[in-house]
Amino acid sequence: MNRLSGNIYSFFFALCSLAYEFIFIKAATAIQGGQVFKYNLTVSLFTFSLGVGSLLSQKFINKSPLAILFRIELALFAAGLLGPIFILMSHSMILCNTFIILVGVLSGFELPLLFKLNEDRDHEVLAWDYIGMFLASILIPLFFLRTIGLGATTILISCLNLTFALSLVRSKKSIKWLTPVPIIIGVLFTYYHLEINQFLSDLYLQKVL
Amino acid sequence: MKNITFLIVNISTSLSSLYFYLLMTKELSQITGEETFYQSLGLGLYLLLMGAGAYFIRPKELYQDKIKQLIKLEWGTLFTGATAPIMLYLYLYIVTAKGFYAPVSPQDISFIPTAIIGLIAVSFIGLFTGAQLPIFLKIGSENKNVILFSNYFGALLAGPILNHLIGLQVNLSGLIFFGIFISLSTLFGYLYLSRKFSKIWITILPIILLFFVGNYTVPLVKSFLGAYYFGLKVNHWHELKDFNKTVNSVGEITTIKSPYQDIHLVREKPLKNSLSPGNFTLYLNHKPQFDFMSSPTYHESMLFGALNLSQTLPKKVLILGGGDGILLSYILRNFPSTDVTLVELDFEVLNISKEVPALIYLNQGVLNQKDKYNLITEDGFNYIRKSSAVFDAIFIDFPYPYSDELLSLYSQEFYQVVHRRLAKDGFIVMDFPLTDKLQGEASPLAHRVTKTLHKSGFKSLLPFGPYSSFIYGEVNQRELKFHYDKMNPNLKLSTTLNLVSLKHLFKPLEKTLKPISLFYGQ
Repeated sequence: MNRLSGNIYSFFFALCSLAYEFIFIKAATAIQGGQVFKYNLTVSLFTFSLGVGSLLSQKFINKSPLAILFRIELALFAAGLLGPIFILMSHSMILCNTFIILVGVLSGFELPLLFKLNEDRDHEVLAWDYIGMFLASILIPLFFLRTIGLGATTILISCLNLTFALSLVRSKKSIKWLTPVPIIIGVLFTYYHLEINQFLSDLYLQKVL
Repeated sequence: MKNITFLIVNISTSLSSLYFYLLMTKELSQITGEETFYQSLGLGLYLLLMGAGAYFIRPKELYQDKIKQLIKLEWGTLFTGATAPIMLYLYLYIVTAKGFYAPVSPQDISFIPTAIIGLIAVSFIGLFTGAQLPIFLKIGSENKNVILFSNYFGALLAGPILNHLIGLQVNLSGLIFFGIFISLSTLFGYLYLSRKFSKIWITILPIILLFFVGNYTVPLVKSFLGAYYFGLKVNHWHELKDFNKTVNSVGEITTIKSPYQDIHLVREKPLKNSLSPGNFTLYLNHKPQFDFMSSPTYHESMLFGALNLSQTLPKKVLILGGGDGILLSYILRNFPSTDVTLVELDFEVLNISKEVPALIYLNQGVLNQKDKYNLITEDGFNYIRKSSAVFDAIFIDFPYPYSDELLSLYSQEFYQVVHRRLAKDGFIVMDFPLTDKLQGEASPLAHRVTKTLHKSGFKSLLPFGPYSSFIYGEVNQRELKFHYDKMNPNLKLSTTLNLVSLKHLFKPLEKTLKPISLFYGQ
């Protein structure tokens, strides 16, 4: 992996991982309230899960890191996209915490794999990882959630995640043309943020009422 | 043994760092009501400076030098974490008492300086934390995975521990003490790892901080609250020292910590040589809820205004919030056969309403008459979500939506559930944030609340109350107006003057205004 790619992947994967956590905090607060409590718990669970993920990654690090990273990102895309829906349908904090841990563990795989793919550039990869998380912490709660809401933000971030996941394997001809499609779909969906959030609201109320 | 100690010290290092970070963001959120802003930006800066710490502060070569580095970094975390909340209150106290501005609500607390103090502290904690992990990894390079795992495990403990202490209603100095205790234990661990017990002096800093926090936190917070609640000002800097004496001469502030909010009972003493009898105000998270003087107007308006508009007598009533019991007492005094359910989240509000003489006077001791009403101690939104009961009237007595979390109680999801719990000809009445500055039209938030209610199925709405404002709503479409000829003749004059429609302040609903929803950040 070349230097620019390594930094870009580190940045966007970190951004997406932390974005999912803010999305889950929003979903958890929607079903049960208590934002400060949820935030404290989510930050702790997520941080711990990152550690678990990095520990587990050691078993796989030497076996085709690129392919494993691709699968991890696909799993993150699925968990991030479907998580809020399942949480709102079930109203279950146990399920919510499960998704937080799952995303944390999967995200914990990212850094060790990126280190392996970008040898001798650990510091750069780590720096872009932190910058990605920093931007996620500002953009998601203070901009995206306020302007396009939970539903459209979830779709946008998941599609962004999928785009970069596909770009990992874009050398395959069948995938190459598919790579930019998810992010285009994600951006298009933002125009329908009112309808998407109304759908989530109806889903939530269906369970409640 | 050394390896286990090393791991335990690693755990306590990350525990103390994240604990102080979460404590700082909690204080900032609680003082200003801006939870989302401080949680998100705080986390971002914490992570960014962690990266900077890891990148720029490189581990030294020798083992003893590494331990010295860890000790200095722990000192940095400890000093910043323990003093930052106190510095925040010191700043707030000085600017309020010196009269640089006069905050009457958290929204008036100057945003930028508060943010700067808080976020700088959080950034430094991140910087020191980020520098510590690479040093641990260098020392234990043969077991990097275990070190990483134990570091993250320490972080796991911080959130639940802080939540648990908040649940036990520990005050600020208690929370800081706990953080200092963790850091002190960490420093002892470093002492053990260095095997140089003559360096016991490294524990001097936490001991000094314990003394400092123990002696100054409570008086400082009290001074700030005195300046904030009583509007007291000083003319000269030296007067700041004896400020608490001035506060005590003017009134009394009783602080009760609940797991959900800070409760302050503020009693203003009667003024000398004046007819002013003094006043008594209840504050929740620094926001005024009601006071002795205006409480009758507020509660009479809410009850009798609604009954006059509906021209019905509800048999089954739900009160959401209102744990002070005052509205409950009005309903039961005037309509004793009404079936009333009161849902209040905070048991401390219920406790003080049963014990504080001023509140017992206002609510006529009704909360102790448990056979006359149904009490549910739970979150109002959770209750109506789970309940299948239907009510003829729902009184919603929540605090104004000063924070992101409170705004969820004004969301379309909430109102749609309320709608489902309302009988066909039932009504709701709620405390309504009309405007902070009455300038001839309702605030954007008031318009959003109206739009949200419309979207949730309340076809008839009437905002009323120029002094204490409310909104009355029904599901059925009809013209709503006060019947002054049928007004209760025993109402206070101030109540009657308050029962005036404010519909003229509202423009037609704009398409650009989004309704309030749980699924949008606010």
